Amino acid sequence: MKRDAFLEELRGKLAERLEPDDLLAALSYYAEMIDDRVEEGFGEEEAVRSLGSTDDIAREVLGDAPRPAAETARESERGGYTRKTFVAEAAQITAVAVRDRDLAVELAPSEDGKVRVWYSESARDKYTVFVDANGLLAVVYESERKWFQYLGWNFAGREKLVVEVPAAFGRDVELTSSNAAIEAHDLHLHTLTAKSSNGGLTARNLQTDETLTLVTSNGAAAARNVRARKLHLHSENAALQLENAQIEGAARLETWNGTLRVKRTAAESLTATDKNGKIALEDVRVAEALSLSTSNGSIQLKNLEAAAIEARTGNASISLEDVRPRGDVLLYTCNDSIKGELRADARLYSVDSKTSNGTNLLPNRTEGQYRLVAHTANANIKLAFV
Amino acid sequence: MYSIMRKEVLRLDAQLKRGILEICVLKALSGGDSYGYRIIKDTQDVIDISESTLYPILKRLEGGAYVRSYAAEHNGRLRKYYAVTERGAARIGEFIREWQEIARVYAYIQGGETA
Repeated sequence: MKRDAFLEELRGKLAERLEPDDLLAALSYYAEMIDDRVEEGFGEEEAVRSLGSTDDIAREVLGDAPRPAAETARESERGGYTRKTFVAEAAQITAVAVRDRDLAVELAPSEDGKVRVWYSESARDKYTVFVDANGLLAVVYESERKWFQYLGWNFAGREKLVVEVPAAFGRDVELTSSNAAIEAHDLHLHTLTAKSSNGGLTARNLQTDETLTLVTSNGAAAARNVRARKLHLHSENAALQLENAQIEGAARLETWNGTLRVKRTAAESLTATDKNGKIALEDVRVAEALSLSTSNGSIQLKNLEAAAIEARTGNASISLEDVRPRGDVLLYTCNDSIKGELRADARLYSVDSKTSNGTNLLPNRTEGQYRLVAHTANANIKLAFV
Repeated sequence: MYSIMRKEVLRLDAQLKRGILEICVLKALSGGDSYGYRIIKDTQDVIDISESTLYPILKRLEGGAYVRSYAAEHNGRLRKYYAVTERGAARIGEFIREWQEIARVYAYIQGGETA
Protein backbone atom coordinates (compact mmCIF):
# COMPACT_ATOMS: atom_id res chain seq x y z
CA MET A 1 0.00 0.00 0.00
CA LYS A 2 1.12 3.54 -0.76
CA ARG A 3 1.49 6.26 1.84
CA ASP A 4 -1.69 8.22 1.04
CA ALA A 5 -3.89 5.13 0.75
CA PHE A 6 -2.59 3.93 4.12
CA LEU A 7 -3.29 7.28 5.77
CA GLU A 8 -6.77 7.41 4.24
CA GLU A 9 -7.52 3.91 5.55
CA LEU A 10 -6.28 4.90 9.00
CA ARG A 11 -8.36 8.09 8.93
CA GLY A 12 -11.44 5.95 8.23
CA LYS A 13 -10.79 3.91 11.37
CA LEU A 14 -10.09 6.86 13.66
CA ALA A 15 -12.31 9.68 12.43
CA GLU A 16 -15.44 8.74 14.32
CA ARG A 17 -13.82 8.38 17.72
CA LEU A 18 -11.31 11.24 17.78
CA GLU A 19 -11.64 14.97 18.02
CA PRO A 20 -10.39 16.74 14.83
CA ASP A 21 -7.18 17.90 16.54
CA ASP A 22 -6.35 14.44 17.83
CA LEU A 23 -7.11 12.88 14.45
CA LEU A 24 -4.79 15.32 12.71
CA ALA A 25 -2.03 14.67 15.30
CA ALA A 26 -2.26 10.90 14.83
CA LEU A 27 -2.26 11.05 11.02
CA SER A 28 0.67 13.54 10.96
CA TYR A 29 2.61 11.25 13.27
CA TYR A 30 2.25 8.25 10.96
CA ALA A 31 2.86 10.35 7.84
CA GLU A 32 6.09 11.58 9.41
CA MET A 33 7.13 8.01 10.27
CA ILE A 34 6.70 6.98 6.62
CA ASP A 35 8.50 10.08 5.32
CA ASP A 36 11.43 9.54 7.68
CA ARG A 37 11.79 5.92 6.58
CA VAL A 38 11.60 6.80 2.91
CA GLU A 39 14.22 9.48 3.49
CA GLU A 40 16.45 6.85 5.01
CA GLY A 41 16.19 4.73 1.89
CA PHE A 42 13.17 2.45 2.40
CA GLY A 43 10.73 2.03 -0.46
CA GLU A 44 7.38 3.73 0.13
CA GLU A 45 5.40 0.48 0.36
CA GLU A 46 8.05 -1.14 2.53
CA ALA A 47 7.92 1.84 4.91
CA VAL A 48 4.13 1.52 5.10
CA ARG A 49 4.34 -2.25 5.66
CA SER A 50 6.75 -1.85 8.58
CA LEU A 51 4.12 0.13 10.52
CA GLY A 52 1.81 -2.89 10.78
CA SER A 53 -1.92 -3.03 10.08
CA THR A 54 -4.19 -0.01 10.39
CA ASP A 55 -6.42 -2.11 12.68
CA ASP A 56 -3.59 -2.59 15.18
CA ILE A 57 -2.62 1.06 14.97
CA ALA A 58 -6.23 2.21 15.46
CA ARG A 59 -6.50 -0.04 18.51
CA GLU A 60 -3.37 1.46 20.07
CA VAL A 61 -4.41 5.02 19.32
CA LEU A 62 -8.03 4.62 20.44
CA GLY A 63 -7.21 2.40 23.40
CA ASP A 64 -5.45 5.35 24.82
CA ALA A 65 -7.68 8.02 23.37
CA PRO A 66 -9.99 9.18 26.16
CA ARG A 67 -7.37 9.84 28.80
CA PRO A 68 -4.64 11.87 27.17
CA ALA A 69 -7.16 13.67 24.97
CA ALA A 70 -8.95 14.97 28.00
CA GLU A 71 -6.32 15.00 30.68
CA THR A 72 -4.75 18.31 31.42
CA ALA A 73 -1.36 18.89 32.96
CA ARG A 74 -0.97 18.70 36.70
CA GLU A 75 -2.95 21.22 38.71
CA SER A 76 -1.01 21.03 41.90
CA GLU A 77 1.38 18.75 43.65
CA ARG A 78 1.34 17.99 47.35
CA GLY A 79 2.83 15.17 49.39
CA GLY A 80 3.80 13.29 46.26
CA TYR A 81 0.24 13.57 44.95
CA THR A 82 -0.62 15.25 41.69
CA ARG A 83 -4.08 16.70 41.21
CA LYS A 84 -5.45 15.76 37.80
CA THR A 85 -8.56 16.53 35.80
CA PHE A 86 -10.48 14.53 33.24
CA VAL A 87 -12.95 16.46 31.08
CA ALA A 88 -15.57 15.16 28.66
CA GLU A 89 -18.55 16.62 26.83
CA ALA A 90 -21.75 15.74 28.71
CA ALA A 91 -23.37 14.55 25.45
CA GLN A 92 -20.80 11.74 25.22
CA ILE A 93 -21.50 10.39 28.70
CA THR A 94 -24.53 8.16 29.25
CA ALA A 95 -23.75 7.06 32.82
CA VAL A 96 -21.12 7.54 35.53
CA ALA A 97 -19.64 4.87 37.83
CA VAL A 98 -17.04 5.64 40.51
CA ARG A 99 -15.22 3.02 42.58
CA ASP A 100 -12.97 4.60 45.17
CA ARG A 101 -11.39 3.45 48.42
CA ASP A 102 -10.49 5.25 51.64
CA LEU A 103 -11.25 8.61 50.11
CA ALA A 104 -14.26 10.93 50.19
CA VAL A 105 -16.23 11.40 46.97
CA GLU A 106 -18.30 14.43 46.00
CA LEU A 107 -20.75 14.65 43.10
CA ALA A 108 -21.45 18.29 42.27
CA PRO A 109 -22.85 20.41 39.42
CA SER A 110 -20.35 21.74 36.88
CA GLU A 111 -20.38 25.39 35.97
CA ASP A 112 -19.80 24.95 32.25
CA GLY A 113 -22.08 21.98 31.59
CA LYS A 114 -19.21 19.54 31.07
CA VAL A 115 -18.42 16.31 32.88
CA ARG A 116 -15.24 16.60 34.92
CA VAL A 117 -13.35 14.36 37.32
CA TRP A 118 -10.77 15.76 39.77
CA TYR A 119 -8.49 13.13 41.28
CA SER A 120 -5.13 12.81 43.05
CA GLU A 121 -2.52 10.38 41.84
CA SER A 122 0.87 9.47 43.19
CA ALA A 123 3.47 6.95 42.14
CA ARG A 124 1.46 4.30 43.93
CA ASP A 125 -2.13 5.54 43.90
CA LYS A 126 -3.64 5.54 40.45
CA TYR A 127 -7.01 5.91 38.86
CA THR A 128 -8.24 4.36 35.66
CA VAL A 129 -10.53 6.88 34.02
CA PHE A 130 -12.18 5.84 30.77
CA VAL A 131 -15.32 6.09 28.68
CA ASP A 132 -16.48 2.78 27.25
CA ALA A 133 -18.21 2.19 23.91
CA ASN A 134 -21.62 2.72 25.53
CA GLY A 135 -20.66 6.06 26.99
CA LEU A 136 -20.17 4.86 30.57
CA LEU A 137 -17.60 7.03 32.33
CA ALA A 138 -15.78 4.82 34.82
CA VAL A 139 -13.42 6.13 37.50
CA VAL A 140 -11.69 3.28 39.30
CA TYR A 141 -9.07 3.56 42.04
CA GLU A 142 -6.24 1.09 41.61
CA SER A 143 -3.46 1.00 44.15
CA GLU A 144 -0.13 -0.12 42.85
CA ARG A 145 1.14 -0.50 46.40
CA LYS A 146 2.67 -3.72 47.44
CA TRP A 147 1.61 -4.75 50.92
CA PHE A 148 4.77 -3.34 52.51
CA GLN A 149 4.20 0.02 50.90
CA TYR A 150 1.15 0.57 53.11
CA LEU A 151 3.43 0.56 56.16
CA GLY A 152 4.28 4.03 57.31
CA TRP A 153 3.22 5.52 54.00
CA ASN A 154 1.78 8.98 54.18
CA PHE A 155 -1.61 9.48 52.54
CA ALA A 156 -1.63 13.22 53.29
CA GLY A 157 -2.20 15.20 50.14
CA ARG A 158 -4.57 12.68 48.62
CA GLU A 159 -7.47 15.03 48.11
CA LYS A 160 -11.15 14.22 47.79
CA LEU A 161 -12.34 12.81 44.47
CA VAL A 162 -14.75 15.25 42.84
CA VAL A 163 -17.02 14.42 39.93
CA GLU A 164 -18.86 17.30 38.28
CA VAL A 165 -21.77 16.80 35.92
CA PRO A 166 -24.25 19.32 34.45
CA ALA A 167 -26.96 20.31 36.93
CA ALA A 168 -29.65 18.72 34.72
CA PHE A 169 -27.54 15.65 33.84
CA GLY A 170 -30.51 13.25 33.89
CA ARG A 171 -28.32 10.10 33.78
CA ASP A 172 -27.56 7.16 36.07
CA VAL A 173 -24.78 7.72 38.58
CA GLU A 174 -23.28 5.11 40.89
CA LEU A 175 -20.72 6.10 43.54
CA THR A 176 -18.85 3.63 45.73
CA SER A 177 -16.17 4.39 48.29
CA SER A 178 -15.43 1.99 51.07
CA ASN A 179 -14.32 3.61 54.31
CA ALA A 180 -15.14 7.15 53.26
CA ALA A 181 -17.97 9.62 52.94
CA ILE A 182 -19.96 10.29 49.77
CA GLU A 183 -21.89 13.48 49.10
CA ALA A 184 -24.10 14.38 46.12
CA HIS A 185 -25.82 17.74 45.76
CA ASP A 186 -27.66 20.26 43.56
CA LEU A 187 -28.37 17.89 40.67
CA HIS A 188 -31.11 16.31 38.64
CA LEU A 189 -30.25 12.69 37.74
CA HIS A 190 -32.03 9.62 36.46
CA THR A 191 -30.90 7.47 39.38
CA LEU A 192 -28.32 7.89 42.12
CA THR A 193 -26.80 4.95 43.98
CA ALA A 194 -24.22 5.70 46.67
CA LYS A 195 -22.57 2.89 48.62
CA SER A 196 -20.00 2.88 51.40
CA SER A 197 -19.06 0.52 54.22
CA ASN A 198 -17.78 2.82 56.90
CA GLY A 199 -18.56 6.23 55.53
CA GLY A 200 -21.50 8.57 55.80
CA LEU A 201 -23.72 9.29 52.81
CA THR A 202 -25.45 12.58 52.04
CA ALA A 203 -27.78 13.64 49.23
CA ARG A 204 -29.04 17.23 49.25
CA ASN A 205 -30.90 19.47 46.80
CA LEU A 206 -31.22 16.50 44.54
CA GLN A 207 -33.84 15.15 42.18
CA THR A 208 -33.95 11.68 40.61
CA ASP A 209 -36.45 10.48 38.00
CA GLU A 210 -36.12 6.99 39.38
CA THR A 211 -34.67 5.58 42.60
CA LEU A 212 -32.40 7.42 45.02
CA THR A 213 -30.40 4.82 46.96
CA LEU A 214 -27.98 5.38 49.85
CA VAL A 215 -26.52 2.21 51.38
CA THR A 216 -23.85 2.09 54.12
CA SER A 217 -22.98 -0.14 57.07
CA ASN A 218 -21.33 1.94 59.73
CA GLY A 219 -22.00 5.47 58.58
CA ALA A 220 -25.06 7.65 58.74
CA ALA A 221 -27.19 8.32 55.67
CA ALA A 222 -29.10 11.55 55.11
CA ALA A 223 -31.25 12.92 52.29
CA ARG A 224 -32.35 16.57 52.49
CA ASN A 225 -34.34 18.61 49.98
CA VAL A 226 -34.81 15.70 47.63
CA ARG A 227 -37.39 14.63 45.07
CA ALA A 228 -37.36 11.07 43.81
CA ARG A 229 -39.64 8.47 42.34
CA LYS A 230 -38.47 5.98 44.95
CA LEU A 231 -36.12 6.21 47.88
CA HIS A 232 -34.05 3.65 49.76
CA LEU A 233 -31.87 4.56 52.77
CA HIS A 234 -29.98 1.78 54.50
CA SER A 235 -27.47 1.64 57.34
CA GLU A 236 -26.63 -0.95 59.94
CA ASN A 237 -25.07 0.88 62.83
CA ALA A 238 -25.90 4.52 62.34
CA ALA A 239 -28.70 7.04 62.03
CA LEU A 240 -30.88 7.72 59.00
CA GLN A 241 -32.40 11.09 58.23
CA LEU A 242 -34.90 12.14 55.59
CA GLU A 243 -35.86 15.79 55.53
CA ASN A 244 -37.91 17.92 53.16
CA ALA A 245 -38.46 15.11 50.68
CA GLN A 246 -41.07 14.38 48.05
CA ILE A 247 -41.21 10.73 47.07
CA GLU A 248 -43.71 9.83 44.35
CA GLY A 249 -43.68 6.13 45.20
CA ALA A 250 -42.30 4.08 48.06
CA ALA A 251 -39.80 5.38 50.61
CA ARG A 252 -37.92 2.65 52.46
CA LEU A 253 -35.59 3.29 55.42
CA GLU A 254 -33.74 0.57 57.31
CA THR A 255 -31.13 0.60 60.05
CA TRP A 256 -30.36 -1.57 63.05
CA ASN A 257 -28.78 0.60 65.66
CA GLY A 258 -29.43 4.22 64.92
CA THR A 259 -32.17 6.81 65.22
CA LEU A 260 -34.44 7.13 62.24
CA ARG A 261 -35.88 10.59 61.59
CA VAL A 262 -38.27 11.78 58.88
CA LYS A 263 -39.29 15.44 58.69
CA ARG A 264 -41.38 17.55 56.28
CA THR A 265 -41.81 14.69 53.84
CA ALA A 266 -44.49 13.42 51.50
CA ALA A 267 -44.50 9.90 50.05
CA GLU A 268 -46.93 7.44 48.52
CA SER A 269 -45.91 4.85 51.10
CA LEU A 270 -43.28 4.84 53.82
CA THR A 271 -41.66 1.87 55.53
CA ALA A 272 -39.14 2.40 58.33
CA THR A 273 -37.44 -0.49 60.07
CA ASP A 274 -35.07 -0.26 63.02
CA LYS A 275 -33.97 -2.62 65.77
CA ASN A 276 -32.52 -0.69 68.66
CA GLY A 277 -33.16 2.87 67.64
CA LYS A 278 -35.93 5.40 67.98
CA ILE A 279 -38.22 6.28 65.05
CA ALA A 280 -39.46 9.89 64.87
CA LEU A 281 -41.71 11.37 62.17
CA GLU A 282 -42.76 15.01 62.04
CA ASP A 283 -44.78 16.91 59.40
CA VAL A 284 -45.19 13.84 57.22
CA ARG A 285 -47.87 12.98 54.66
CA VAL A 286 -48.20 9.44 53.38
CA ALA A 287 -50.85 8.82 50.71
CA GLU A 288 -51.12 5.10 51.39
CA ALA A 289 -49.54 2.85 54.01
CA LEU A 290 -47.15 3.94 56.75
CA SER A 291 -45.37 1.02 58.37
CA LEU A 292 -42.94 1.50 61.28
CA SER A 293 -41.16 -1.20 63.20
CA THR A 294 -38.38 -1.24 65.83
CA SER A 295 -37.67 -3.30 68.94
CA ASN A 296 -36.15 -1.26 71.69
CA GLY A 297 -36.77 2.30 70.61
CA SER A 298 -39.73 4.61 70.95
CA ILE A 299 -41.97 5.66 68.06
CA GLN A 300 -42.97 9.33 67.96
CA LEU A 301 -45.45 10.67 65.42
CA LYS A 302 -46.20 14.39 65.16
CA ASN A 303 -48.34 16.24 62.59
CA LEU A 304 -48.79 13.18 60.45
CA GLU A 305 -51.32 12.17 57.83
CA ALA A 306 -51.55 8.66 56.40
CA ALA A 307 -54.15 6.31 54.93
CA ALA A 308 -53.14 3.41 57.16
CA ILE A 309 -50.74 3.38 60.09
CA GLU A 310 -48.95 0.41 61.59
CA ALA A 311 -46.39 0.98 64.37
CA ARG A 312 -44.66 -1.84 66.25
CA THR A 313 -42.03 -1.72 69.00
CA GLY A 314 -41.30 -3.30 72.37
CA ASN A 315 -39.89 -1.96 75.62
CA ALA A 316 -40.56 1.59 74.47
CA SER A 317 -43.45 3.99 74.08
CA ILE A 318 -45.58 4.99 71.11
CA SER A 319 -46.71 8.60 71.15
CA LEU A 320 -49.02 10.42 68.75
CA GLU A 321 -49.53 14.15 68.38
CA ASP A 322 -51.79 15.60 65.72
CA VAL A 323 -52.04 12.32 63.81
CA ARG A 324 -54.70 12.17 61.07
CA PRO A 325 -55.40 8.66 59.84
CA ARG A 326 -57.72 7.83 56.95
CA GLY A 327 -57.81 4.08 57.58
CA ASP A 328 -56.69 1.39 60.02
CA VAL A 329 -54.37 2.31 62.91
CA LEU A 330 -52.45 -0.56 64.46
CA LEU A 331 -50.20 0.18 67.48
CA TYR A 332 -48.26 -2.58 69.25
CA THR A 333 -45.69 -2.41 72.09
CA CYS A 334 -45.17 -3.93 75.50
CA ASN A 335 -43.68 -2.70 78.77
CA ASP A 336 -44.32 0.90 77.81
CA SER A 337 -47.18 3.28 77.15
CA ILE A 338 -49.28 4.19 74.12
CA LYS A 339 -50.39 7.79 74.36
CA GLY A 340 -51.63 10.76 72.40
CA GLU A 341 -54.45 11.87 70.13
CA LEU A 342 -55.95 10.71 66.86
CA ARG A 343 -57.66 13.37 64.75
CA ALA A 344 -60.42 11.23 63.25
CA ASP A 345 -64.11 10.53 63.57
CA ALA A 346 -64.39 8.01 66.44
CA ARG A 347 -67.62 6.64 64.94
CA LEU A 348 -65.70 5.23 61.97
CA TYR A 349 -63.48 3.05 64.16
CA SER A 350 -63.83 -0.27 65.91
CA VAL A 351 -61.47 -0.30 68.91
CA ASP A 352 -59.43 -3.22 70.20
CA SER A 353 -57.32 -1.93 73.08
CA LYS A 354 -55.73 -3.98 75.81
CA THR A 355 -53.04 -3.85 78.48
CA SER A 356 -52.35 -5.73 81.66
CA ASN A 357 -51.09 -4.09 84.84
CA GLY A 358 -51.88 -0.66 83.47
CA THR A 359 -54.61 1.91 83.01
CA ASN A 360 -56.55 1.84 79.75
CA LEU A 361 -58.48 5.00 78.94
CA LEU A 362 -59.65 3.78 75.52
CA PRO A 363 -63.02 2.00 75.56
CA ASN A 364 -63.39 -0.92 73.17
CA ARG A 365 -66.14 -1.08 70.55
CA THR A 366 -66.93 -3.55 67.80
CA GLU A 367 -68.61 -1.44 65.11
CA GLY A 368 -66.66 0.61 62.63
CA GLN A 369 -65.45 0.95 59.06
CA TYR A 370 -61.80 1.05 60.18
CA ARG A 371 -59.84 -0.67 62.93
CA LEU A 372 -57.93 0.90 65.81
CA VAL A 373 -55.72 -1.61 67.64
CA ALA A 374 -53.63 -0.55 70.68
CA HIS A 375 -51.86 -3.35 72.54
CA THR A 376 -49.29 -3.19 75.33
CA ALA A 377 -48.61 -4.85 78.67
CA ASN A 378 -47.40 -3.55 82.04
CA ALA A 379 -48.08 0.01 80.90
CA ASN A 380 -50.84 2.57 80.33
CA ILE A 381 -52.88 3.35 77.25
CA LYS A 382 -53.80 7.03 77.12
CA LEU A 383 -55.13 7.42 73.63
CA ALA A 384 -58.15 9.45 72.55
CA PHE A 385 -59.99 10.65 69.44
CA VAL A 386 -60.24 14.42 69.12
CA MET B 1 -7.09 -18.45 42.72
CA TYR B 2 -4.22 -19.23 40.42
CA SER B 3 -5.86 -17.54 37.46
CA ILE B 4 -6.61 -14.41 39.48
CA MET B 5 -3.01 -14.15 40.61
CA ARG B 6 -1.81 -14.77 37.09
CA LYS B 7 -3.99 -11.95 35.80
CA GLU B 8 -2.65 -9.58 38.48
CA VAL B 9 0.90 -10.42 37.45
CA LEU B 10 0.16 -9.76 33.79
CA ARG B 11 -1.49 -6.46 34.61
CA LEU B 12 1.44 -5.42 36.75
CA ASP B 13 3.81 -6.40 33.96
CA ALA B 14 1.93 -4.19 31.51
CA GLN B 15 2.05 -1.23 33.90
CA LEU B 16 5.69 -1.86 34.69
CA LYS B 17 6.53 -2.04 31.00
CA ARG B 18 4.59 1.12 30.24
CA GLY B 19 6.45 2.96 33.00
CA ILE B 20 9.84 1.76 31.80
CA LEU B 21 9.09 2.71 28.19
CA GLU B 22 8.18 6.23 29.29
CA ILE B 23 11.47 6.63 31.14
CA CYS B 24 13.42 5.28 28.15
CA VAL B 25 11.83 7.90 25.92
CA LEU B 26 12.65 10.65 28.44
CA LYS B 27 16.21 9.39 28.62
CA ALA B 28 16.47 9.38 24.82
CA LEU B 29 15.40 13.03 24.84
CA SER B 30 17.73 14.05 27.66
CA GLY B 31 20.64 14.01 25.19
CA GLY B 32 18.90 16.61 23.01
CA ASP B 33 15.63 17.25 21.17
CA SER B 34 14.54 14.42 18.93
CA TYR B 35 11.68 13.17 16.72
CA GLY B 36 9.61 9.99 16.56
CA TYR B 37 11.61 7.86 14.19
CA ARG B 38 14.93 8.75 15.81
CA ILE B 39 13.64 7.99 19.30
CA ILE B 40 12.75 4.48 18.13
CA LYS B 41 16.20 4.00 16.57
CA ASP B 42 18.04 5.44 19.58
CA THR B 43 16.30 3.11 22.03
CA GLN B 44 16.17 -0.05 19.92
CA ASP B 45 19.36 -1.49 21.39
CA VAL B 46 17.87 -1.58 24.89
CA ILE B 47 14.15 -1.92 24.36
CA ASP B 48 11.78 -2.60 21.50
CA ILE B 49 9.38 0.29 20.98
CA SER B 50 7.18 0.13 17.90
CA GLU B 51 5.75 3.20 16.15
CA SER B 52 2.27 2.46 17.44
CA THR B 53 3.56 1.98 21.01
CA LEU B 54 5.52 5.21 20.92
CA TYR B 55 2.57 7.35 19.86
CA PRO B 56 0.51 7.01 23.07
CA ILE B 57 3.67 7.28 25.17
CA LEU B 58 4.57 10.63 23.62
CA LYS B 59 1.00 11.86 24.03
CA ARG B 60 0.97 10.82 27.65
CA LEU B 61 4.32 12.44 28.36
CA GLU B 62 3.25 15.62 26.66
CA GLY B 63 -0.12 15.60 28.45
CA GLY B 64 1.71 15.31 31.76
CA ALA B 65 4.12 18.12 30.82
CA TYR B 66 7.11 15.75 30.94
CA VAL B 67 7.94 16.71 27.36
CA ARG B 68 6.96 19.56 25.06
CA SER B 69 6.80 19.47 21.29
CA TYR B 70 7.33 21.88 18.43
CA ALA B 71 7.28 21.59 14.66
CA ALA B 72 10.36 22.48 12.61
CA GLU B 73 10.97 22.48 8.90
CA HIS B 74 12.96 19.56 7.56
CA ASN B 75 13.56 18.88 3.83
CA GLY B 76 10.53 20.86 2.80
CA ARG B 77 8.16 19.29 5.31
CA LEU B 78 7.31 19.83 8.97
CA ARG B 79 8.72 17.41 11.49
CA LYS B 80 7.53 17.27 15.10
CA TYR B 81 10.35 17.52 17.61
CA TYR B 82 10.15 16.68 21.30
CA ALA B 83 12.13 18.22 24.17
CA VAL B 84 12.31 16.98 27.75
CA THR B 85 11.02 19.47 30.33
CA GLU B 86 12.40 20.06 33.82
CA ARG B 87 9.62 17.91 35.14
CA GLY B 88 10.60 15.13 32.72
CA ALA B 89 14.22 15.31 33.80
CA ALA B 90 13.15 15.12 37.44
CA ARG B 91 11.05 12.06 36.64
CA ILE B 92 14.15 10.17 35.47
CA GLY B 93 15.85 10.84 38.82
CA GLU B 94 12.72 9.79 40.64
CA PHE B 95 12.60 6.54 38.66
CA ILE B 96 16.21 5.76 39.55
CA ARG B 97 15.52 6.35 43.26
CA GLU B 98 12.44 4.12 43.14
CA TRP B 99 14.45 1.35 41.58
CA GLN B 100 17.21 1.68 44.13
CA GLU B 101 14.54 1.04 46.74
CA ILE B 102 13.38 -2.04 44.84
CA ALA B 103 16.99 -3.16 44.44
CA ARG B 104 17.42 -3.05 48.23
CA VAL B 105 14.35 -5.22 48.70
CA TYR B 106 15.61 -7.53 45.97
CA ALA B 107 19.01 -7.84 47.66
CA TYR B 108 17.31 -8.60 50.96
CA ILE B 109 15.16 -11.32 49.40
CA GLN B 110 18.07 -12.83 47.54
CA GLY B 111 20.22 -12.75 50.68
CA GLY B 112 17.40 -14.43 52.60
CA GLU B 113 17.18 -17.27 50.12
CA THR B 114 20.85 -18.10 50.02
CA ALA B 115 21.22 -17.86 53.80
